[in-house]
Amino acid sequence: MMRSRLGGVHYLLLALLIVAGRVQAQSEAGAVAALVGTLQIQRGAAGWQSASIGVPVFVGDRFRTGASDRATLVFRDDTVLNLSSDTEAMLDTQAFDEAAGRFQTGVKMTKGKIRAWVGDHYRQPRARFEIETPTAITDVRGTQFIVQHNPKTETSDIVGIADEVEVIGKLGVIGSSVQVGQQMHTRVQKGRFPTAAQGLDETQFSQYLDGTEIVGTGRHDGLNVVHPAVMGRLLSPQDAPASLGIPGMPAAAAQAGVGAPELPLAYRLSPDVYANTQPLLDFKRTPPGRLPSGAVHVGF
Amino acid sequence: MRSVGKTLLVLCGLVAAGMLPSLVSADVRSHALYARGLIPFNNGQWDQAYRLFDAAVGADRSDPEPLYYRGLTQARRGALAAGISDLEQALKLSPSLPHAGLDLGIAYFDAGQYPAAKVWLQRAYEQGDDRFTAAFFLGLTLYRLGEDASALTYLNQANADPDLRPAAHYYAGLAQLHQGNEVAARSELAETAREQPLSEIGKLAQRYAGGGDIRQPPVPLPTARRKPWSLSASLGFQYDTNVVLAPSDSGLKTAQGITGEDDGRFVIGAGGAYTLLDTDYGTVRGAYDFSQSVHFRWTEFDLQGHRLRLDAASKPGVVSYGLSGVYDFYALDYQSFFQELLGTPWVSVAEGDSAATQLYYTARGRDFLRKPFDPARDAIDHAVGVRQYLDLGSPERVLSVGYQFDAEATLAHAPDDQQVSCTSTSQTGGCGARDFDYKAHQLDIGINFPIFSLAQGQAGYLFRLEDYQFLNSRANFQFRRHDQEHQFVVDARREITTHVSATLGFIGILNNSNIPAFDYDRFIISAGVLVTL
Repeated sequence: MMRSRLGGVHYLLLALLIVAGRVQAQSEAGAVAALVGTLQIQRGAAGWQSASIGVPVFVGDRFRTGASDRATLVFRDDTVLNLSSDTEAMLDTQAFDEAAGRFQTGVKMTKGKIRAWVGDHYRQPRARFEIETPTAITDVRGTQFIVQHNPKTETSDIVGIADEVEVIGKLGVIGSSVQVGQQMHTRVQKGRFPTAAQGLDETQFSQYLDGTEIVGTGRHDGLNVVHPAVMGRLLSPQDAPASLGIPGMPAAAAQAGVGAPELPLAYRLSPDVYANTQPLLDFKRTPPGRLPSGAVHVGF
Repeated sequence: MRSVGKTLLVLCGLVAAGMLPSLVSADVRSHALYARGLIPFNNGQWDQAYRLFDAAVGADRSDPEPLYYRGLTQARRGALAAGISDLEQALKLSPSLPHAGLDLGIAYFDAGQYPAAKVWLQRAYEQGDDRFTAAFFLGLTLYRLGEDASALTYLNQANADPDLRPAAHYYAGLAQLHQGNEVAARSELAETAREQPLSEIGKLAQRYAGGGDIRQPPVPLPTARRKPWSLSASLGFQYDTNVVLAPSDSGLKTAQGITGEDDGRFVIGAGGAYTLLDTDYGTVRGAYDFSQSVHFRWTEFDLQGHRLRLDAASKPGVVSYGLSGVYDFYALDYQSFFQELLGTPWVSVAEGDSAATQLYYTARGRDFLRKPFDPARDAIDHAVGVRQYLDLGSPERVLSVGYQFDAEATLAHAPDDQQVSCTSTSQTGGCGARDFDYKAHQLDIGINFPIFSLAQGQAGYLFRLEDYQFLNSRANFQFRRHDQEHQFVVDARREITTHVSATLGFIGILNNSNIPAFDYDRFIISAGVLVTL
């Protein structure tokens, strides 16, 4: 009796999960946060569309980058995926219910390289985050790692950046998983189990990291962008050449406003004209206030 | 005891186990918040971006990128001090963080902290971090610091970037202008006008595109962008038809024994100015000028002038105002002649888009130091004036019309309430001073204009009516003196090299007086060289 009741509850829960999953599938899973070059998204039966920063992504969306493209996707569960160049992946599943403590994300990757920052939610016991390549499944619980898949060689490489990830091969049979720790690596070839995790030296490690970093939006974010000086705006009224005038102030006013009134032009051009305005010789001969009398020869 | 130790060990282990994921998860959480913040940042939603970056920094203070982006966002929001702090912190955590040094330099520039901006922009430039952008902002910073020559070097490099080119040309033009290189300045500004005609600076630059020299105003613009000092020196030759102001009446001239009143003279000048104070509200600038004329024959008219000037002026605006003080000392024939002190408060008001009015009052005290004018011409002069400026379609064509009334009250006569007898038969000591007591009306019109792009010209006409108030000794105390003076002036200045200009001028003075002794004509032609630094 108890068993059948539990079974009923299970069915009910399953039904709720399916409904919830459908609701989740229709809601926004995340958004494009950064772009270098172009990211293309295929949604449903529609063709590939170029995405821009801020464009929402949904469960079922397929993503691809070109030879010189990179992109960052940020999800509502705090997961961040950096897609390197020549990468194709799909957000296969995502269930995010914080109240119920249900967190499930599945990403399928067919080629390229993804660096993942997996959110803290996935540390919870029932949470599950997987990146699946044609040869391997990487299961993580809140960490950073890189998954790289080469479709030509049909090999997947998994590199731990922080904490540990669990990697299993897609053999169709149950095999042992490999734990990959920080700066460690495993390779999974088609039809094989993962190799034992091995440490990477700095050079190898940085080779894997190469192409997974995007600083900022991947665009020009610096203060020089749309800076008033670059946009051709006047930074300060003093940047108008003196006689060019100042916005809102006519050139004539600028001219008038630069200082005290000047002396008349003749006086400015000749101090002799400014200083000598009275017949000095005549007054030397007859001081002011005295009546002139006789003549005095002046000269050389 | 053993179990206690074991428990502590386990606890430590648990704490350590708890701490490690916490550190890792903080990084992941921080990264998610940071990535989420990039979306509003990209859309220019600074407040929203700030909240997310701030939360990201709170989750992991060791990650330089959220700090860097919080700093950028702060700077974008205008909180430059906070932005600078974040950018500095980000650079401490990651000295090679791309573009961060350049952004810190730009933030310092925007904050007006030019020495610090120079350091970071220089570093960014040397690291090749967006080299042309670094060169552009470094050029701007050096221009702000008054290092115009260095600014030009970097602004010229920034020209290689098409996005920076119009602004780089513009500021290069300003730097050239500050250096006195007017032709080069016009060329740079013309480039801005051509490449970015619709921008604010493009429109300003375009106003010069039609030709004509860019002319600095007579008094240096009170701006921090100018170098604080200036020097000038000049050497000129003048031919003066009437050095001694001999009367036009040939009979009277003969009676006075004057022959050969014309003469040539060399005039040398030198001067310097320094901005003593420069704030957001205004400037204070001091200047000194020296002049000496050396005549060929009339050496007793060799004039030496010393002028000290102090100008306090508000920053240019729709209403500008200031106070000017001048002290002059003149020596004639190398002996003291007179000294004077002038004080002029003034205000200028812009009207509409092409006119401005200036009002002023000048008080002048003049003290003659030798006979025959000491003490007869010692006087206080009060003048009030109004001047209207009109922009004739381009900044180098400005018409000005002015009117001034002034009253000169001599000091040497007896007080007004005491009888002063000034007649042909009865003269007292105050009669000399009464010869120079006048009220005057003065009208003038002036225009600045380019001369076929060859030189900058200015021309002016002045009419002055002096109405002397008392019976004049030169009229045998029969009537008062009335003078009508006409001044005609034309002057041209052509730049020869960066710092050297040639000048050519003409001054004509017709002083018509009802008393023949004061009726004279005088014409002066001059040619000279002016050196400015």
